[in-house]
Amino acid sequence: MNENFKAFIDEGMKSYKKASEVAALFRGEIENILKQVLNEHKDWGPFQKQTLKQSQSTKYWTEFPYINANVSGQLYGKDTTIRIGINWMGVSDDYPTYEVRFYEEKHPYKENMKTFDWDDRYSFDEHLTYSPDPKDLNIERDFNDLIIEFVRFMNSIK
Amino acid sequence: MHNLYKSSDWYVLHRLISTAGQIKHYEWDSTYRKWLETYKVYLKEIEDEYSRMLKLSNRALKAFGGDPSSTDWSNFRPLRLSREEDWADWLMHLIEQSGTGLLSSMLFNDSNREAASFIQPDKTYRELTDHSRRYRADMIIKWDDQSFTHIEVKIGDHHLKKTFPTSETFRTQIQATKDNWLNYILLLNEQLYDWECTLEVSDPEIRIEAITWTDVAVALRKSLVSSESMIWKSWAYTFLGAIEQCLLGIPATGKGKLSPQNIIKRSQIIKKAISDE
Repeated sequence: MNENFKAFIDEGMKSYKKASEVAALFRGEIENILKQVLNEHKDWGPFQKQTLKQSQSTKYWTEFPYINANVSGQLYGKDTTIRIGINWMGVSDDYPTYEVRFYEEKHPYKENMKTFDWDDRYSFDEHLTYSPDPKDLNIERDFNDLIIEFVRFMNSIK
Repeated sequence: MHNLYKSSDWYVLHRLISTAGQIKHYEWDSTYRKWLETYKVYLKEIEDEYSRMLKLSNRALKAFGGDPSSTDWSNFRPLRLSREEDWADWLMHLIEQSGTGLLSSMLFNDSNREAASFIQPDKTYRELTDHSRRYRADMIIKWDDQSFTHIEVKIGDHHLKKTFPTSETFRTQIQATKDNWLNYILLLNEQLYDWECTLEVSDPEIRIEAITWTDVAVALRKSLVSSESMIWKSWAYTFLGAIEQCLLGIPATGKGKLSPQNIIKRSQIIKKAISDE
């Protein structure tokens, strides 16, 4: 066994539990913050919010964690789940992006998102995303703003 | 209190990562060390809150020797822990024998009825088989006002979909109207996602409310400080200990170190139980 590899494995045997504990606690608390944002956000425009759904965050400490919360309801008569999430996948530095999206892959209004005139603070690539300022992190505020922008889009559909 | 604050703790992540040669020492100092330090401070806060909750519960349940978490229930033989039927039997016993109706009113809160209306149901059925012998209902309760509550009990069983035809079959067989019939499915928390997936492909006309064993734990804790009889409370106390340790996976307090998430879980259960809501 390669010496460096063995050192890594041996150290991991001792350290992995604690490292996982830290990551698990972080994930759980972030999920709680996101659920609270969904619970407390008042104006959903045409989306009739019903119930919070289970989070589907990455459950293991993978390289690219993705933590989310979901809310179901009706949008112009269509069953719809809106997901807000914090995504570390595909980011160039340590900080994640925040996103809001239709959970349903084939949501009927997904196409409309491509042509909508989004505010310059946000970018659109499959989902509406926002890159938080590392010097001014405020998850609740930023997600509320992101939802407001998403509601602006939903209002524009019909 | 667990010794989670020893000064060498932050080396844990550091050494793991640096031995992999993926991160330079100065990077570690500026990022992960800080994170672990904030973790330790936050964990201390969580543990302090847990101690406070446990203290309150120990005081409230002094007649039983304190909080049930101080006893190890993981080998409690009178309740056959691997059998769904046994968990349902115990729950039904507590529902039937309740002198306050509090347990049922907290679990089946759909109907907005007074707790007193859940005292001593008119009739209860366990493991009822339908005429065609295709379906079996775990629990059906007929209340004094002639309404029914049907409950399917799960401790990890993946067959959730059959709850829909089961519900409708028994409602029809018992000749209850839709207004007089409420369906519940009692699940482990980790089954909630599977349940949501099941809901997406099921008959939207049949309404089934999901409740969890965490809800049962909260309701039992609340009932333990109510005016229930001592005999009822002693069964409930035992059942609660077994639920928290065997179904919710929160070990007894003296049995090794609790993970932060288990500390939070039990704290929240106690907190909900002692809240006035």
